[in-house]
Amino acid sequence: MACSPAVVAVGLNCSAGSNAEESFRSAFLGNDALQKLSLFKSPRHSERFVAQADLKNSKRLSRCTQMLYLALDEAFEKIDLKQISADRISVWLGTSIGGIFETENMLIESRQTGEKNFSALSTYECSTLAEIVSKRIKAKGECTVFSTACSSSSLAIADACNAIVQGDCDVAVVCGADALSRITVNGFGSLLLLSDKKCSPFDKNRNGINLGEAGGVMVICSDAIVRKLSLKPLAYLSGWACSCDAYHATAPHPTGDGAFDAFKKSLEKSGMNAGSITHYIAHGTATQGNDTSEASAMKNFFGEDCLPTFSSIKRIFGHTLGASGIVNAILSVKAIVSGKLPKNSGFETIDENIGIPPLTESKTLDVENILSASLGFGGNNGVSLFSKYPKNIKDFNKKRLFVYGVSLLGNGGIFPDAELLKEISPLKKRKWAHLQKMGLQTAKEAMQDIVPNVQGDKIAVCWGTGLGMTSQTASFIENVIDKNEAEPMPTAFTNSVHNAVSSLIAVQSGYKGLNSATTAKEISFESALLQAMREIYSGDALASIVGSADEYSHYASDFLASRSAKYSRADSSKVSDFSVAYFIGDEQCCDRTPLAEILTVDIARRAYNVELETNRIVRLLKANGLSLESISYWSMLDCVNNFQEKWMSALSEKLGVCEFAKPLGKYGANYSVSGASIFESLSEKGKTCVHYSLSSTNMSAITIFKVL
Amino acid sequence: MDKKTLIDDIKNKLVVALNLQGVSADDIDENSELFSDDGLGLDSVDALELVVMVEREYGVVVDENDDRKTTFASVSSLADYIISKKS
Repeated sequence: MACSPAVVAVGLNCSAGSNAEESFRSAFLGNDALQKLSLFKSPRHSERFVAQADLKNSKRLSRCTQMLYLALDEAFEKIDLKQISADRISVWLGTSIGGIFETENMLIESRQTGEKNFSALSTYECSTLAEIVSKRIKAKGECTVFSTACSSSSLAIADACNAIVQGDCDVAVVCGADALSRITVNGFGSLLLLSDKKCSPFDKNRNGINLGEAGGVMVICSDAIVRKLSLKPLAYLSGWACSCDAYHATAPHPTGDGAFDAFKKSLEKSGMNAGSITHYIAHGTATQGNDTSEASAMKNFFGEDCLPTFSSIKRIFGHTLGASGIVNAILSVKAIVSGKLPKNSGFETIDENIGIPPLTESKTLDVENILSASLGFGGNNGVSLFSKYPKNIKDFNKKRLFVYGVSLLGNGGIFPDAELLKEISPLKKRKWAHLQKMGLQTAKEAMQDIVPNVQGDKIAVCWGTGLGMTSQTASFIENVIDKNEAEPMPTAFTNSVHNAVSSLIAVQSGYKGLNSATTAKEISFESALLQAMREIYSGDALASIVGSADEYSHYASDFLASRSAKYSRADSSKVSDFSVAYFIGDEQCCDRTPLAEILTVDIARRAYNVELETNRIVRLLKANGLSLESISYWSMLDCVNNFQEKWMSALSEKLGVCEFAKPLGKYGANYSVSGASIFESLSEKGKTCVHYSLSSTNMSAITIFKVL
Repeated sequence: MDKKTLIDDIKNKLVVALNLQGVSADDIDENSELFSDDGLGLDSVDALELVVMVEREYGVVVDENDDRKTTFASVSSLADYIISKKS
């Protein structure tokens, strides 16, 4: 049995404090820093309360980056990781919209000046934030962003814990960040989910959210590293789990069944029972829907006898969206360290539909185990369990994994929308966006004629995307700017989240396991595949839909064009629609003859030179009982610049490979095409294949699989 | 605008605002329930799109405290609501 991963440092910057201690004290004392929205001009929402962090007006650093830098400085002030090899340090980050506030500013400026400056679109790419963190701390392990709306950073914590327990890294730097923006204020406004007062979670008279912003960091280590460096853990992760309601695009399941599943799976990690939970830090957004559903999940799971005290801290921190998971997690750790429980500020009157009151007065006591939850759009749930003392974590099983079904949509061009999902009535699919339709179509086709032998709650959906729902996001923001907030677009907002594709697949298929949206530029697909594999190894899933999709948009094209001039040879006229989906699982998950066996996926910053990168590949092959000689098929992602071209040719020479197959250029310029590699190799029966992807930010992904 | 004309107008605008592909204004029965699966099967997000549409097209600001379930139950009840707010 593995020992629970240890939290060795935390850092937090938000409206309630410039560090974790100050923020925790605000929560304990009930001091909110809510203020009327003043970050940008908002004719419709200027009277709303928001939790705005005290940041500089910087041209160079986005609000998210500023908050993350401060949180990183705090976390790394107390620990020294110099003795750890950089390639064993990985970064996970959860964010719903990253630096979109700066993208909005850029769009407004470009509307006024008529000049196109699309370089600022890089802040829209959520993956940029994780790369900024990775470079700042000089990490060389994997670097992945989860963007599943409000549950984002809880999914990051869960995958990071799986990675530590399964030996994929020694240190996980898990971050969460989101900043206030026009799209979220107007988006939640369009759904009538914003309060016109300071929010009152779980109160009878609650009437919505106060938005907030935060950047948080949690450094999590394996037990071996704790001993090696004689670190003093603040707390331990004794459980984590993710689930999906598979119910609706935005509304939570009325009785919180998805959250219930996540509670259950998280406690099973260390065999803990419901009665051992001291306190529950709720998602508690103060909307009617969330609080009723969440309380129902609590009552069903704990029962009246074991119901722990609970509190939502949203009145103090606001709803920090993708950062809310890490905020809750950091407060849980501080509560365990200090023996203090923060109260549920803003609560006055019990709601008879809820029937249970939250903690109304902060208190001091011995806090052993805290369960912390994030429940987001798409019915996406992430739960973490923090403990004062280490526990034994149930064994993982690196079982054999197979590909049973595949589907690919891509010809280097753009797909007419009317051609997608023809079998579904226009009325039923009227609200689905183009990218969602592409994703759902490939997912359905990959599952054609496959009847899984496992229940829906054991099937995950792990979906990559480089740019996410660009068209929906762009039309929402353009509408806000051009019509000065006059005509809200609720449907476009619900479809603007990166997990819009994976949640639609879940709702349509009933798959209730982990539901994720990973984003990592050109290796977004590999990130999704790796996460799915870890989820299956952990036992929380037995099978998964794994895919990746990106769409043509004029912004993507203009962005590429703005880069091409300087750095890139990729042809912006080739920006394309592309989607690929696989159904993968263990030997028993279905009765189909498998198409391929996936042996391993490894993601890291590329080595300093080709000799070291070759050594990495050889090590990886050796770990799977293979050598360079046993590989008969190599493929790679197309080079987008001169450096990559030189690198790939030097690498192939070093590896003694005459030529990499270059099958992917025909799919056009699209962040998701690396997902075509397994599909492209399926005719190479009996061969062991290696696919090598080098991203434009020098992360490399190596996928080894055998075609059957 | 009398109620009959308003009802026809609402139907046409509903088809556009909610992107009701494959549905024509004539297919909509003004008395059938918009939010039930026997009717158009609309959901809570559609209700919000309706709020925006009513404000944009008819200049009627929907009170957040009004019960949208009754107001928007059918095209006919929506017409009544608009008439009552206008008068």
